[in-house]
Amino acid sequence: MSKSLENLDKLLEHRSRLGACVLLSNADRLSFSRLKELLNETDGNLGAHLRKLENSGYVDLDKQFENRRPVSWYTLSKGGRLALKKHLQALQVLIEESAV
Amino acid sequence: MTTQETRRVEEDLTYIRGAVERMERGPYQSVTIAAIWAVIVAVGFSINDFRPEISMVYWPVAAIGGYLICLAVLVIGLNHGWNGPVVGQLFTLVSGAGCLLGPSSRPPIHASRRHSHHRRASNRLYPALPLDDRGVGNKCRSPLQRLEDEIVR
Repeated sequence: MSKSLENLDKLLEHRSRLGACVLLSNADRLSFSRLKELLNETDGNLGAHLRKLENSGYVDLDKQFENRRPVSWYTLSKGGRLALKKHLQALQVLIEESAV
Repeated sequence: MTTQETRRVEEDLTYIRGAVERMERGPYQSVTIAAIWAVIVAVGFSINDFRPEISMVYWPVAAIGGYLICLAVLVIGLNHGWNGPVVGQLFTLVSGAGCLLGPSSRPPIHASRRHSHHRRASNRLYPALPLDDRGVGNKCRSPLQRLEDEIVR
């Protein structure tokens, strides 16, 4: 049990950050507004969570202008994908151990 | 792991599942596009058999109209921040339908023309054969060949 807990990624323990990574793993890229809509988060909260992920190299940010409006596009980096995979595996083991 | 922690993990997973379900519900338009092309192709093939005279007009109009609808959906999708795979699926649908409609968009060969086409081919193979009463086979033969045909007669 303790080993499974150790394998959990501290950064992905928050549901918004984990949710953002899961959504990005299913898409090439997602805009900030789309992520906000899907995760039901406020601008401030989501921005802070995404900044943490970006600073850790889990997501890549690409800012573009579309129709004179700034649009922030997020993609899951290779490191982020690997970390998410490990975290989900650890979570699965933890759930299985809890069920026993 | 305490009961409280287990409950928290459960709530988090429910929250994430909800977000993923919301994302999957989004691109319902791709189903609409598939349905549009299914109807266009089904109607078009039926028209070829039952009303061939309309077919010449139907296919170009339906193909261009269908393509414009798909393009509009793509533009709307991109403006709303749809993800790449969804846009890719839509492009695949458009190009797939284009491959289907492309060869079919030629005007249909009417039965009588099909018959005359067969005759012209047989006249090329056997130039000495007598021409039919309507002289259909003559249309594709050069004046020199026609003269030869007359001599043979």
